[in-house]
Parts: sequence; C-alpha cells; structure tokens
Amino acid sequence: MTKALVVKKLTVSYDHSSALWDIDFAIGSGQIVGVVGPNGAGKSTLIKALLGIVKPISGQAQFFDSAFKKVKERVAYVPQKGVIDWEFPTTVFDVVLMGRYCRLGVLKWYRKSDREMALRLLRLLQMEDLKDRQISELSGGQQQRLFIARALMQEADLLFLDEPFTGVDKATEALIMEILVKLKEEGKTIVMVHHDLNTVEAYFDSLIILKTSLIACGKTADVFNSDNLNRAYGEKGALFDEALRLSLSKSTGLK
Amino acid sequence: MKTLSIWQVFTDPILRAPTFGAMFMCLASSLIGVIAFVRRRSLLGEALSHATYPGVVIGILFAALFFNPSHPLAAFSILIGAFIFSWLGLISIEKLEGRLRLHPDATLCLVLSLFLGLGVTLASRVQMTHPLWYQQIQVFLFGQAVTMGDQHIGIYASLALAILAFIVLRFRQIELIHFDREFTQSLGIPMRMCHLFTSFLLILALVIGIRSVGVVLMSGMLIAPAAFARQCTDRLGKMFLIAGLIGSLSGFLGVYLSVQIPLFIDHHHPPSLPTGPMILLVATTFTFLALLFSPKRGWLSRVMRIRRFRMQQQMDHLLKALWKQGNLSFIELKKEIGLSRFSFSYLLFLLRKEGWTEGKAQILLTPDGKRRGARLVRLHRLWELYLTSELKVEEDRVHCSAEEMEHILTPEIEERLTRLLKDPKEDPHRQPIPTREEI
Repeated sequence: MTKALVVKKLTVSYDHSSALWDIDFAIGSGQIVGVVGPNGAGKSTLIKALLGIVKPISGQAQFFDSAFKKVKERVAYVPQKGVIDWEFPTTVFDVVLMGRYCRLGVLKWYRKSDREMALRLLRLLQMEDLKDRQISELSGGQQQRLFIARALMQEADLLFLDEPFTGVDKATEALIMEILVKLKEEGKTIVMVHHDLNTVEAYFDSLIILKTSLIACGKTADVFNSDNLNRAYGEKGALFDEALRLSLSKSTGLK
Repeated sequence: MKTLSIWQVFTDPILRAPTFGAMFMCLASSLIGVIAFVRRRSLLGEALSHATYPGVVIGILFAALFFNPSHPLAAFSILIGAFIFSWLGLISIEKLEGRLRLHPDATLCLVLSLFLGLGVTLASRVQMTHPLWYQQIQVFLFGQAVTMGDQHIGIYASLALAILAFIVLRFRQIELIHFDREFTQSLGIPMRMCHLFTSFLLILALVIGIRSVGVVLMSGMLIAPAAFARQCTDRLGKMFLIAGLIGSLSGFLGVYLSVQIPLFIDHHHPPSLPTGPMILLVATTFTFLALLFSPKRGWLSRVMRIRRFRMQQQMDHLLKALWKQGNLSFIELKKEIGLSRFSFSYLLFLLRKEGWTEGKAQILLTPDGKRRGARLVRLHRLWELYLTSELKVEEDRVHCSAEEMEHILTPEIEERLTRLLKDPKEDPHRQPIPTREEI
C-alpha cells in the first residue's frame, strides 16, 4: 500500500518560537491521524512546512510517493481560524467556492457544477440558510464549518486541519467528526492538529506526538501512554527545547 | 463665457481632455484602491505617492535636456521618473520592514518624508536653473487636470484600461490571495508574482493619478471610493464595480465643478480653482454620505434600528401590563411607562394600528394582543427560571436581564429553554408561566 505521507529528516525554524528538529515519520492512507503536543511544540509549523507555507531548512516530504507540487490537487488544508481578516468583503458562499479554484479554467469562472457542489456541502454542514451572510456574522462553530466546507470542495485525498475544534461548540465538533469519519471510510486520510487529550483515543486511529522533535508516531493504542506524554508535556524535554531555541536565535543574529 | 452644460464638458475641445483624463485616472486609482483597502494598507499609497515627487523633478530635468515643455514625450519622461522613484520607495519600505525590522507605521512615515524632502530640495534647485519647467513641477504637487491636452489622454487611457483588464482577468486570484494567504499557499499558487504585479499596478495608478489629483492628495483618491463601496456591499466583485463607478464620477464632477464654480463666482474674470482638491472633495463627500446613510452599515440606519428596537420594547412593556391587569384606562396605563404625553399617545396609536389593542379611553387587548402579552410574560419567566435554576444566579438579580431578553428570544431558543427546563409551570417568584397553548 502506498503511504499517504512520508516525512524525512525535516528541520524547520519559524518565527523564532516554534521549531522542528529532525522529524521522520510515515502515515498510511485511510485513517484519521492526530498531531498533539504542548504549545509551541511545532504542530502548526509541521503542517505549514509540509504544504510549503513555511520553508524548511532541510528534509523532504512525499505525498503519495510524489513531491507536493505534483499532487497538490489531492491535498486540502483548513488553516487556523485566527489568521484571516473576518471583515473581508466576502460571503459564506464565496468562501466555499474558493475551494474549487485550482480546477477552474483560465478566467476562473465558477461552473454550475461548482455551485451545486457548494450548496450540497453547505447543506451537509447545516449552513444552507447562511449562504449570503458576510463571514464576520457567523458564530465560532459556523466559521469553522465554513472552512471545512471549503476544504471538502477540493475533494482531496489528504486533508490537513489545524486545531479545528478551538472555540467550537460540542454539536459542531460532533458534526465535523462524523463527516471526517465518513471521509475516512471512503479511503481518505485526515491529519489533524488537536489539543484536547481527553478525546484523543476516541478520535484518532494513529497519533503523532511532537515536542520540537518527534516523540512518537504510531497506532494510538500503542503510543498514547503516560511515558510518551511525560516526555512531551513534562519538564525533562524543556531543556532541549530551550537550548534549541537559543541556538536558533543566535544563528539568526537576534541575540 | 456662459455656464457649461454637462454634455459640453465631454465635447469642448479644451475641456474634453481634462475630463476624460481625470475620469480614467480616478477609475484606475479607485480600482487599485480597493485592493489596498481590503489589505488594510491604505497608508502604503500615501507613502508611495509622495515617493514619486523626486522622480517627477528628475523626469522634468531629463525632459528639459531634449524637449520643449509642451512636447508629449516630456509627459512620458515625467511618468517614467515618477514610476522609478515610487518603486524605489516600495523597495525601501520592504527592506525597512523586513531586513531592518522597523514597525510598518514608522516605515511609511520615514519613507514618505524622506522622498518628499528629497523632491522639494531638488525642486527648489530647478526653480533657479529651469524657471520655465518649474511651473510643471508645481502642477504635480496638487494636481491640475485642466492643462492636459488631447495628446496625454492616449497614455492615461491605456494605462487605466490595463489596470481594469488585470482586475477583470485575475479577479479570483486577487480575492483568494488577499483573503487567505496561507490557504492560497497551500494550493501551491505562486504569491510572489501576483504581489509584484499588484504593486506594479498600484504604482502605475499613482503615477497616472498625480497629474490630476497631485502627489499630496493622491492616496485619498485610492481609499475614498473603496470606503464608499465597502459601505454598500459585502462582496469584493461589487466593491470593485461600485468603487470604479464612484471614482470615475468623482473625476468627472471634480473637473466640471472646478470649471463651473469659478464661472459662477465671477462671470468675466473667473478665479482659478485647482482640479485635484476638487476631485478629492467630491469623492470624500460621497464617502462621508455613505458612512452616514448607507442602508446596511450607515450611521443613520443603525440609529433607526436602535430606535425601532426601543420602541418595540416600550410597546411590549404596555402589552405585558395590559395582559397582567386586564383593561386599563389611559391614565392608569400611562403610569406604567415614563414617557411624555405625546410619545405615549403615539405608542398607543401604534398598538392599535398593529392590532394588539382596541379602545382609546379604556384600553383593551385584542385576542391577538392577549396571545402576544402571554408570550412576552412566558419568555420573561422562562428566562428568569433558567437563570436561577441552571446558572445559579440569585433570584433578586434576574429581573433586569429577563426584561431585556423577553424581546430578543427567538422561538427556537424558547423551544430549547422549554426542553431544558422540562416545560415548567412556575417561575422563581412562584408566578405561573403561561402555557404554550395560551400564546
């Protein structure tokens, strides 16, 4: 079976706060994978580096045995909620349609099929009657569902989500999880940055535990144990982390 | 010379060039201005337009070597000089913010004053060496469309249309990049090219614009139409459309008024009125009106909505009093609410008109009014019960909150409250809650 994602020797320095050091792992397709770790462990940085938003210092990632550039249509991404301007003049329907950008022709006119699909997804996420709203008029849960809908528009085989459940109500969380499980059953792979350790065992088939370097990667049942969590969240690892940060700030000339 | 008709401004051999010129300039700047506006980088235009000034001076010095002042290539040489220096301004801003880590605010301030200072210094030198050309330099400071000739229009029109074409052809990409940078990168779309091209067009629009609006006022022409358009719509495509229309209209009206008003003041010796400030005054007036009166986001409609809500609250208050105490006389009911006789009578009139009450001296609820009164009391008491039983708020503090919420709660929230509280019969003060059949 081809791996959905193989990462080799990935090292990243980003914003001088979260960095990644020498990460190696592989993810098989058709499962939901969680990425957990303390604040500043580099969870978001990992996803951004894989998608080319942040430039890694070294290392490489392979998606379905090819480079990202070749298979970018098969990969979708739901960014963290904070990074966009909610006052931007755009409506719910417009945002969902953006997911089809890469499939459009030269002039990027939406086709009837794109609009139908967008409506179908809004219905699936119970947002049909909000479709003409300006996006700042949505609640936290609705905003998150909106970006899930946009990612689903891409009909990708590999879906990255960056903390989709922050500031989201329980009902929305359940709805999103239900949709993700359905995607998994269709053979798609989902990688999700997550911060709530209570739900890890219920949500994820596999788990990546990060703290600047890779603590563990494997089946949730095998790696989700107190030993690994101590290494990620405990005091011991902090020393390594601090030294690495110091080294990065030295090498960029900040101190 | 008598007053002009609107048609004449487009056909008159002296006026048609400034009119079309100003309209094309304003079209270009308002379209690009929308992008600057939604990126929240309005001041970038201000810094870059000031950065053109030394370029204008150097362009003129260059032209003075080869041409006489009215030669069309002289105008071209000025445009190129302005473009180069504005681009230098952009590069300095990027370097200062990126490599030297200066705050964006301070960067813009620094670049603006540095380039303008350089321009003014050069210009004062030119005043002595090339007095004939100095006049031209002054024109660019505050803009003067009226001295444009037919030969300029070709240049300005084609530049403005190039900007229009870019925005039409690249609309989706512009929308995507400026809305969600990270998502765009995750699609593997090259950002660098689009940003470079947007900067290129921004500077182009500035360079086209300074001839009629002037270096000092140019950034207003970028932002005013965009701000107007934002008040009118929540969609980027419509924003471009509205801003373009308002921009062109301001350009036209600016030229028209700057010719018409002097004629109006003194028919025989009309004083001169600069076009640039006039165009900008028109545009900002439009924007100001939109800020006050636009239907959805304007100040006036917000005030109206607040008033309407307050009125609704007062009417509801009277309905509740009537529901609790049966029929009341005018005097008794007036005691319920602290209002002047006039406003109170108006409220009563509204209640009658909407079909909630009948009678003028002795006021009675209609069956519809009874149901509405019961509904308000039900919502009020449900909310009080919810606060005390579920959120553990003390009993004597829940009344105020419920007074407000009874006007706000929707049927869906009522349904959820009812389910949560298991269809209660009594509120925390042991008052009966009207049942769902009553409302």
